[in-house]
Amino acid sequence: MRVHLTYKNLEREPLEPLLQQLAARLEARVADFPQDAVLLHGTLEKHPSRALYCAALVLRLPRRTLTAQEEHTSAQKTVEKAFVEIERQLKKYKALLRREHLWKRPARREAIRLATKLAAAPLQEAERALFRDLILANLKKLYNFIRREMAYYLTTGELLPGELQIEDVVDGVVLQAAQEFSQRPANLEVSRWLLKLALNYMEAKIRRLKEERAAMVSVEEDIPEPLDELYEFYQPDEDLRLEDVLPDPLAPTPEQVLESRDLQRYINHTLAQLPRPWRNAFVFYYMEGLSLPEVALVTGQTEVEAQHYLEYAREFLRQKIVESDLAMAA
Amino acid sequence: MRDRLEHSCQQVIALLTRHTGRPPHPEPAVTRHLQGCPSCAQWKRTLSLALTVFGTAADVEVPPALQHRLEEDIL
Repeated sequence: MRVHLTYKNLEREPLEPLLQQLAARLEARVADFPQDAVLLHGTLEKHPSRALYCAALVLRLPRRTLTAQEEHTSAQKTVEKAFVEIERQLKKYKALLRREHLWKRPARREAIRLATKLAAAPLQEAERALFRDLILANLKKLYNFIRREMAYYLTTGELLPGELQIEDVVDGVVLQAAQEFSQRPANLEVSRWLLKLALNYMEAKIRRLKEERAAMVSVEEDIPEPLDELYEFYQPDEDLRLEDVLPDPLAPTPEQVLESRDLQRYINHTLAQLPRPWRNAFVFYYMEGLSLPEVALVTGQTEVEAQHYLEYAREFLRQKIVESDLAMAA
Repeated sequence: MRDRLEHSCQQVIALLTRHTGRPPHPEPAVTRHLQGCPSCAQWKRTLSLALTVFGTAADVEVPPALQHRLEEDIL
């Protein structure tokens, strides 16, 4: 950090030790930024006729300039107050760069309890009981769908670790379901309707996050990752081979898939290579067990499109089996 | 291969590709072709394996805390 201070109408020496101490503290706090891009410019001034001091600090950072101006009857207090203000702004800016407003979800969740919002949802008393029963009956399916979608977005890089929590998405989807419950489509089972809401909610959320990210400056600082089981089977840049992760290629059971995180990772990575419409058709048809007309309703594809996407996805995945050593065992 | 089988390999692959893979293919001619054609049978086995591997959804239980909170919130 480069420092440039100007003094007007006052002696420099008495303030020097304090300024050095405060500048050193600030320097430690801007250590994450390229040091040649950080400049602290300050003007310390005594009023010509009164016992009043003024300190103006300008901290130039990459893409952001912070300013503070303080007055006090004590020169030392003036300087201290200006540095405290700059440090406060710096802390806020760094938190923004680290996207703390997004990953500090538990605290936010407490603050915006779903119950409060649900209370405002237009549900009649009888409807509320039905809604509750339907949500709880379909919660496991919804939770696992969201979990798989998040793993997919993490794999494609469209979602960064820590940006979104499964619980937040579940809350958002349940809230939206409550708001639209009376207008839910008659031609779609509730379980399918919830998946459709979740699909659209996730897509919109990812779009917003991308926009926010594009408007954000990046600093070379790690974002803390939450200890979530989702992230345990998300490993970027890995090179998994099916034959290495599937112990019994001829009889993979759901339990086997569940137990093998390596296999889950392999499946995630492979499905993430499919174009999104192909993957959607495949996931809803095979993994979620929807019929072709239901796939079309949920994804917004026509039945003919969904049928074609299924064909393309199947052939792509069959080729993956052919490319693996497991083709010989099949 | 065509000889005594009613469908060519190309036709069988096309039928199997269009077929969504859930119930057994209903057309007996296709089944007969698969019984007599090792390459098409191998093709079908790799497809079945792909669907088994990639179409298997491994669900986990909803965390009790989330379940409990939703039960309370929706009430």
